[in-house]
Amino acid sequence: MKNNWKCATLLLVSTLAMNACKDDDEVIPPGPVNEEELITAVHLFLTPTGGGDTAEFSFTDPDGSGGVGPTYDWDTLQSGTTFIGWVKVYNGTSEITPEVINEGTAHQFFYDVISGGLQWTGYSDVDSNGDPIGVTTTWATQSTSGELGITLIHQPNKDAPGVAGGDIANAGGETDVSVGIPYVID
Amino acid sequence: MRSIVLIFFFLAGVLARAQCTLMLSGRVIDAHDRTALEYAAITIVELERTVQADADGNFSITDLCPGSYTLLVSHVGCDPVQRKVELREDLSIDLKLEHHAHELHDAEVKGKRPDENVGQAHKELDKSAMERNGGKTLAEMLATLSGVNTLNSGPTISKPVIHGLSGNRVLILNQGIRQEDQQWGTEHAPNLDPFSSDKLTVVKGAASVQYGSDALGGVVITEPVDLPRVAGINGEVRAIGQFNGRGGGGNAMVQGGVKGVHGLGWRVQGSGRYLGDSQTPEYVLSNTGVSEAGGSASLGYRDHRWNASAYYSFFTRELGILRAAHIGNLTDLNNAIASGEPWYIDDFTYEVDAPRQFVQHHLLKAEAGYAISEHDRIVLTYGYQADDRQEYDIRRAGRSSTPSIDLFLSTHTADAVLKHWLGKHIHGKFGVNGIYQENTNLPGTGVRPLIPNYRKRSGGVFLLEHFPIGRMLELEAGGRVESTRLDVAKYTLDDVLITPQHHFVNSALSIGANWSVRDSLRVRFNIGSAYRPPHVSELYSEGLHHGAAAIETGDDGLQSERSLKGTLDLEATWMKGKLSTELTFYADRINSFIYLRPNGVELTIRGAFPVFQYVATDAFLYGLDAMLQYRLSRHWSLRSKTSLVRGRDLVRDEWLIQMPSDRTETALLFAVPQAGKWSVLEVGPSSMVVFKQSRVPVGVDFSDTPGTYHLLGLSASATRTLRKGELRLGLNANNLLNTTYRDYMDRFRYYADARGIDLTIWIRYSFGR
Repeated sequence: MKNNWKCATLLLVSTLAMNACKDDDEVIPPGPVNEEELITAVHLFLTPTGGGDTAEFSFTDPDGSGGVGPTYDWDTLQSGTTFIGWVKVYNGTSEITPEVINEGTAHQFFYDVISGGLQWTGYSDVDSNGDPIGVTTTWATQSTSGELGITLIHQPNKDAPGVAGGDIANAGGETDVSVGIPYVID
Repeated sequence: MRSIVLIFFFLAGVLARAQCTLMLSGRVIDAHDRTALEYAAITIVELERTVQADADGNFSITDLCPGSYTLLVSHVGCDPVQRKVELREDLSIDLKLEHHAHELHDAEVKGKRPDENVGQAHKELDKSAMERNGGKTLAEMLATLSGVNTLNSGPTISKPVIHGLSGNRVLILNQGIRQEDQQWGTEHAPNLDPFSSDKLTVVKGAASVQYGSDALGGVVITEPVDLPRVAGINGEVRAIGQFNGRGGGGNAMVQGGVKGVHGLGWRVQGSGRYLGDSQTPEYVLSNTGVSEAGGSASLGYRDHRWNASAYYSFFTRELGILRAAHIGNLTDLNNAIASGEPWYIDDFTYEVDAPRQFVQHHLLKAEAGYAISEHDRIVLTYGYQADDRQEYDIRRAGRSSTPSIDLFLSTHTADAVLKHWLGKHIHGKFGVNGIYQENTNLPGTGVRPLIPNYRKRSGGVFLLEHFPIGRMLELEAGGRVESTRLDVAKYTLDDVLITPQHHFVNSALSIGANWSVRDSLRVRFNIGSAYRPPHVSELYSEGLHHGAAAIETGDDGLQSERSLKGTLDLEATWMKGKLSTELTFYADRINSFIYLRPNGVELTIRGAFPVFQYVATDAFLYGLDAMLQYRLSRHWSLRSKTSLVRGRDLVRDEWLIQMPSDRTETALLFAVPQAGKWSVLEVGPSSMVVFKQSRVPVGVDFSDTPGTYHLLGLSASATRTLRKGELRLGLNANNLLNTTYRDYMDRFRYYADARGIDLTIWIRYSFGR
């Protein structure tokens, strides 16, 4: 009996020792990661069709979800004007709009005027199936300021009723971007 | 379908009237702890007929005439026992042998660990029950036991839930080694091939004293298979075909002893499963295919002093995650709930696309035991586990083939247990355990890791003693102390390296009793404490969960969960064995119960997301498992199971989220021991009702809980001999009426219905001796 306990004590001590002696090594850190999938900024540019300065609207959140909150930037548009619009999306400093266009059949931008007198008047680009992607668009202004919404949907059902015309209701898919940006009409 | 049922009953009825007489069956068990005694010999003295019980102690003697008989039961290391039986109809009896007094004298007798689970309520899923449920995952198999449910993420991922607790609160002991397999989230199923074992046991109590941390809800044990010790080869081959998913699986096992080396045995086993998309009554669940492969090999030696064994197993699984459950933001989730149908439905395919998971689990185990004296035995066990996990998300520019999560987890476990006797009656175990674990994120994912790199070191000491009082009562008491250190290394959102450390010290106590009040009534009682240090994911999660459209944040200030659980288990037979009942009552108080609580909404470039924060509260869970079995006649019996769970958040005075709703299952069984060339014919319908979960916290869930549903099932099986081997055929049908339903415990219930009708056909051939 005595022997058993000695044996057991020895074991216990050796287990605890094994546990204790590796204290010094550090855990290998994983290395910082450059997030590839993140979209950190959306910019919408509106250029008057009759010439003039391009207005820029943006929504930026450099550190993604959590951390520092997002910021907006907006411009003033002239009333009673028509515009050509194009959108750019970024991950940090690298523009990922080309990735979206390359996978055009699997992406579509939707524009929605939440309030005010800006009018989205249609898409002016197509994917390989002849459906819109929505990177380039046309716009018009009336007189009141408000807020516009930009949504990018991944794998929308472009054949569903209204989707090709810019109606998001039946699009399905999953949301990659959904932002609201204020604008001013002078 | 109904006509098939009728034909079955008709055939069964015709066969029953054929010339078959009485059957005496039962189980040979240890008188002290009621564990099975393998391969005992049962002789009917008057007829000079002897049969041998199987590895689980089960035996049956058929073709008997009514009358009174003397049974002589003998087993290696036991004194033979005589018993008189009066046979008027088919009879099932337990034969008890005085066993373990001899056990430690003679290591030749298989050590069925007489000192485990004495006071703990536990349920077993034996080989034949596992066979009937072939084609299911481990968790789905376990859910056939009362008190066990599943927590699902679509049809491909399911985790066992014991008495309302799941995930890191259910410990899985695979072949005696704690399973460590990257199960931190609800969408991570245990990586285990159920067919690498012959028996699954669920301990339904807090059991940290014996098994260490995490055993708050209970323990799932896959029992190590006993290797043959005499020369000869035997084995079995099994094939399973499944209608829903249009696939199937198979399993093959060969084992044997070695001629000339008594005590040396080996076993090799391999299995696979391959299924395409599952189907609801109305649509295909796109991207829910799964493919699995597993295998194991073991070699062991045992003589009267020594035993040594080596075991290796691997398991790999690739599974698709329901495409429609991958969504962008809160608006998408609300749209999915409102539309009532998945937004992505495609044609049936076997192919699996992103989002998908690919996992591999390796286990290497070495064990050696030595009888250091007449009474005492020391057992050393070492285990190494390696886990590889890659999760592929939907990404742009062809990056879907680059994993978003790429983790490697390695775990070493070492145990030393001294089984000892203190004097003539008191016996027990003293043990030390150590765990060393490292988690590594492999570079190249281009996605910030959800789980940081970490190292976990843990060491524990325990003592568990048994005190038999007379022949009918046995008490047990035990305690454990464990220390866990956690070193973490991660980058913050500003790319600053931080290396926090955590240290948790926990202790657990347990007392229990096992009282055989009389032959027909047994009471088990246990109060045990358990603990669980917070998982790294609960401390350091930080990010977006696409399946849940939620941002999850950890809290590095969380402390260990501590639970105190009491279980009272009553097993009784009434009316001369015609009626048997099992009741398990339990109450579980958990302090610092960690769960995800909604914490506002965060605006991101993808839109609005609810934020969930890991917080701690005090919880109280209680409930009841009930089983009732009634033999209606010689061939017919009725079995009914009911489970009730209640969970309260004591701090906020509200119900806990994600608790299984009430359910009850009733099965009618028609059994014939022998009919022509066929034996053990069994057929029966079953009916399960799962009630709507109305006990939920107010305003927390995204949608209403799904309503009550009712499913019908049918199972049938029969055996016959074929060329010296045994052939067993079976059929299993679930959701026979193709009912459309959703289950509260399925996290994907927001997106899609549950599986529709499913038929499984299986066949098994066993050969050799």
